[in-house]
Amino acid sequence: MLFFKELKRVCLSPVYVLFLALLLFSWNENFRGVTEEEIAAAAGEEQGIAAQLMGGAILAKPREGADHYGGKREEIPEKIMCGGIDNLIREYLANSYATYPFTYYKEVVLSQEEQEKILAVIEEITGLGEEKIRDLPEGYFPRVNGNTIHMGDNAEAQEGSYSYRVEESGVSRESKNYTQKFVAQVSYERFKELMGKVEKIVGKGSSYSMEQLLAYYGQGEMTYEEALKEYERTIYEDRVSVAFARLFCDYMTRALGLYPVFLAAALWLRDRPRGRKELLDSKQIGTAKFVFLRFLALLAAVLAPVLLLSLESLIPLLGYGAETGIAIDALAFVKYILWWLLPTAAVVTALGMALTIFTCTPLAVLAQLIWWFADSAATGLSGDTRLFTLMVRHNTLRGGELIRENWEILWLNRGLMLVLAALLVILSAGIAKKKREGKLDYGSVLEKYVGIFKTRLSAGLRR
Amino acid sequence: MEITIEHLSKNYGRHKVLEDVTLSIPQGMFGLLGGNGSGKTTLMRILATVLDPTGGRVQINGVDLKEKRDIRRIVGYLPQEFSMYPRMSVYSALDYLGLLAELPAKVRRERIQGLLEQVNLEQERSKPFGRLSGGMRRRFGIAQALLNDPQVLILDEPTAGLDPDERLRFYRLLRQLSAGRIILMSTHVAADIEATCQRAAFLSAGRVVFQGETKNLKEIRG
Repeated sequence: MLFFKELKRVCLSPVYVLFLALLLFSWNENFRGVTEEEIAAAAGEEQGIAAQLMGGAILAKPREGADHYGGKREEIPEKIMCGGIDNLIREYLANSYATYPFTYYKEVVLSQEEQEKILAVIEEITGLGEEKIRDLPEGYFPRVNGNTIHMGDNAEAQEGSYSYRVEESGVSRESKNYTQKFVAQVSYERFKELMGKVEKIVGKGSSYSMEQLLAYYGQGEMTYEEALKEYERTIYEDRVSVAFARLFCDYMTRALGLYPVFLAAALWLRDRPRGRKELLDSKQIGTAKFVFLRFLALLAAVLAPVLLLSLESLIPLLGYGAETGIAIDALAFVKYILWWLLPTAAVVTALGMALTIFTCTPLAVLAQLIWWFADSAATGLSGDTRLFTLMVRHNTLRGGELIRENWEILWLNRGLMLVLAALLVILSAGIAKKKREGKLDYGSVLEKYVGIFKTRLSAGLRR
Repeated sequence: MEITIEHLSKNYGRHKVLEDVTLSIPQGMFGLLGGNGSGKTTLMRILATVLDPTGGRVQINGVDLKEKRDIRRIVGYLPQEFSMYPRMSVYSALDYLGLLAELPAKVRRERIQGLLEQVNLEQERSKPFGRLSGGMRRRFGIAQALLNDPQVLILDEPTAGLDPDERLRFYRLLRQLSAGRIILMSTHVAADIEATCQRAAFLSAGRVVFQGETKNLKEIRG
């Protein structure tokens, strides 16, 4: 009964309205409509550019003899060198290097000395001098070079927009053409060394780490057989809904890695006034039971809207399954929310609770912001889970094999997060018990010194 | 039915707030008088188990103070300054505190209904706590202290901020409640003690300088 009372208190609070708004915004920006789009594409309706570039809708069975079956991760040295140097020349000429040190964009401008070092790298890789580099011939790089598209003369302007034909990204291997078309003048190993040097000069989060070079340019073309295998994996192994549950959890984890701390801090700070706290403390309920029930109420309030939002994807999938006869895993979202999102939500809530009970301040919000930023910077978009990863990522509908390959580390990581959450709840109960006995009263000490500071500041301002 | 306090002390670092306090509080209304900083609130908080003493021994109806859960079962506490969540209604707030007192649902419902009538807050049951007047809040405070039907009521400055009429109504309520209970009431207003309590103690600088019948209190006050 107390659980429901606490749940009601959380859900009726203004902070919860803010939490819901942020969650909805995040879901709307990233995931809403994805399922309907894929189902429509499978039915032969127009596909978005992303789906076209990926080789068609995930639910559409590949046709033998099609032009394009989508990309796959593949480390092709020529493509990686071509794409990497194309980007480096562009950034060198503008002296503007894009970095993402904490997943947010930061422009780096290099000094004269540093630019000269970059030029030396470019000259070594291309075999060209500075003058030639500043005036590369048309078609030196392929039209579509990884994530770079050269419009050039091939583009046709029509009513304010441009269109062009996507050609094979031909990378020349003939050394006698190296002044007209890019041909690497170094080995792949030497290229990797040079890119490491560039990364040190430009800084963390640049486009020149091997991880980034592979992400942007490590793409090969899938064959029909490979595309068919991917389709069958989606239909028969993932039973369709698992693929969407993965992507849903990928987006939701970013929200649940941060927002619950606001709820936890707000709920416990409401007990801060001494007169309110003593009223509650003098009642006979055990501290551990009280803390645990509040934690459960917070967790339920956090996960309930996530479960509801998953229906936006599940219901159309169930309809799709009924129409096509394909078996859908109706519990995919519930299962994935429980094993993927619950540990993250639990540890964030528990940490928020522990720090707020201990300090009687919103310090937990700052602590969680730091953890969220650090984790975002350290974790790649897919298949990069480590033991202490807070937010497991898998930013694609495809690639289910990445999850299966990393099963062991995923379970270790999720288990560790749950254990950490449990320990934090126990710690919270211990701290709350001490405070209930009038010990560890740092909150009132802090208030006293903040009060002294405020008084002195006001007096100073009046003078 | 008795509260026995033996050589109770409370220090904050080197500052002694209570020093060698020994009291015996029988059934009925007992007043605790003293000026600001005399240690009244500290003593109340210790008896209500929201503050641990530094030394000494306390038993409430034979239960040692260290048995906090058992003490909380038999004690009702009204702090000097208290508040509840402002948007919670009077009924909802009592229900919440009743849950924290681990009362079963049926008992809670019946008791809250009875208490609202007893403290004359029945008309205000749906009113948000934040919109209650000072007198209503005090009556709410008494009601929540009585939720677990305690054997001992600890009231810290219960009439602070009340106008004379409210004060008189409060005294009448306390007299009704004192049957079969110990009511320990602290105040710095001697008239409150003289109007309601048979026995009293006087605290000064953390020490008991008088305990006995209220009529003898005037000798100390001079």
